[in-house]
Amino acid sequence: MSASGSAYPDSVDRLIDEFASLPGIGRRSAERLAFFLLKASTDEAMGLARAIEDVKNNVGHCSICWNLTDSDPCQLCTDEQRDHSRVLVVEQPRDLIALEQTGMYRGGYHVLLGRLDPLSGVGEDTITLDALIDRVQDPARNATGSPVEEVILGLNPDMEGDSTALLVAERLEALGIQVTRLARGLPSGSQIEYANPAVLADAIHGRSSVSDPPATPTQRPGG
Amino acid sequence: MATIKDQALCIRQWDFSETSQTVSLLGRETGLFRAIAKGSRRPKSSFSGGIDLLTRGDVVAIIKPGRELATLTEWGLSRVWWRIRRDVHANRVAYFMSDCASRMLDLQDPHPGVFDGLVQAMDQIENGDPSPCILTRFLLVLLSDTGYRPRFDHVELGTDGPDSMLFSPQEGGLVEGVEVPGTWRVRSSTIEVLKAFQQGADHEQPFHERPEATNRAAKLLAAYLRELLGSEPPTLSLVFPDLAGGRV
Repeated sequence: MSASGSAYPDSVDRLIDEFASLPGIGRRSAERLAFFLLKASTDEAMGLARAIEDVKNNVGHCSICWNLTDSDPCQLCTDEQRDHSRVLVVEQPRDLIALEQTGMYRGGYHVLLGRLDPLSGVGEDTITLDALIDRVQDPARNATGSPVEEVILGLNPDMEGDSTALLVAERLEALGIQVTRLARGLPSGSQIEYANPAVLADAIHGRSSVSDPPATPTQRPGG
Repeated sequence: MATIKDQALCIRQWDFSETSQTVSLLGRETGLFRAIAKGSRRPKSSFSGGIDLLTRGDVVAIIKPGRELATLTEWGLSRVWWRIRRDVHANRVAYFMSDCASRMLDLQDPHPGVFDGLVQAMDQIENGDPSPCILTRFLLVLLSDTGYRPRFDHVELGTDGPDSMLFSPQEGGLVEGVEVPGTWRVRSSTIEVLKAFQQGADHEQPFHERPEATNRAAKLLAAYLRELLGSEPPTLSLVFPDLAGGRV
């Protein structure tokens, strides 16, 4: 019996506690994971341990775009094939990955690492807005030394995301930078009768010409 | 176990999991209540795809006695105010009003007047009305409905009256006598504007006549509300940066 009074040895108890502290994992699931590792070969179990160690030791934030990376600057910022005069601002690295998976965007990014939540007292000092301003003001601090011409706001279309977008736009427009935002509206494959009024209103507000497909950052209008 | 149907405004929301939310709703007939909306972010849920802050909806919830968290079973989005999402100043005013309502009201204590006042204020923001008017009117509604209506009636104002007066947040209104710590010196023109609002003047009239006095009136009410709460709402500094940090 362990020191804590459970039937497990102390080391197993500690492993279960660690798993149970992860989001979405309860005590029962933690026990299952711990027993899976106990049954697994030493190589498999140590592979997991090494992966965790590597992530914590080697992964940090890119000093330019603040995306997660194991080399600084990150691969996206050092890619000279990308158009770094455009910067797409997102809240979290996961948003960046979702946008990259579309294959439609070939510009730069900036990860804010959060968003405003005024009701909880979370203000602009908790996001990487100053770093974005620095990139805009000083091309030497942007990827490949390119001057920033356009900032695209790709924040979540909810109240906190909109509040963050308004703040970022306010700060950047004062610098004379063109600020745009991702279009909002109906998702492909959905049905109008099931869409909520906010989505429909967004779609009407952001309607576009049928004959002219929307310009992508790799397809400048007239360019 | 009671099932309630009501109109409500979402005044706080937190992510509970990837697909669920907990929310603080201001129901017109129910008052402030907190609820969990399981699966609310799923595209085909009964929650219009998620409950967003400062939107209005028709709500169905199950409130169990002795439990602080109700279970939301439906949220039919009925109103989104767009200006607060496209205008930075309107956004800050809306946050402040929502924050004040959330802090001044007790759970499940109905205040239809505050609900109507907040909806009216949001409509006025949407119409582009001047924010000092909107704030003054809403804060007066909120204070009056919760039993803290500031008293200005017992002091006569006139052309021969004093240029300034003393307001005591402890007394909840104007006081006579010498200035002592804890009282605030307020210009008579500010009080005149507040009295005009209390008497139900056309909501834009005092502002057009005296825009600066209307702004001071809103600021006085905000400072009074902070004293009543005993702490500073984090959104106060968004609207009145010069009141931040306990300044008057």
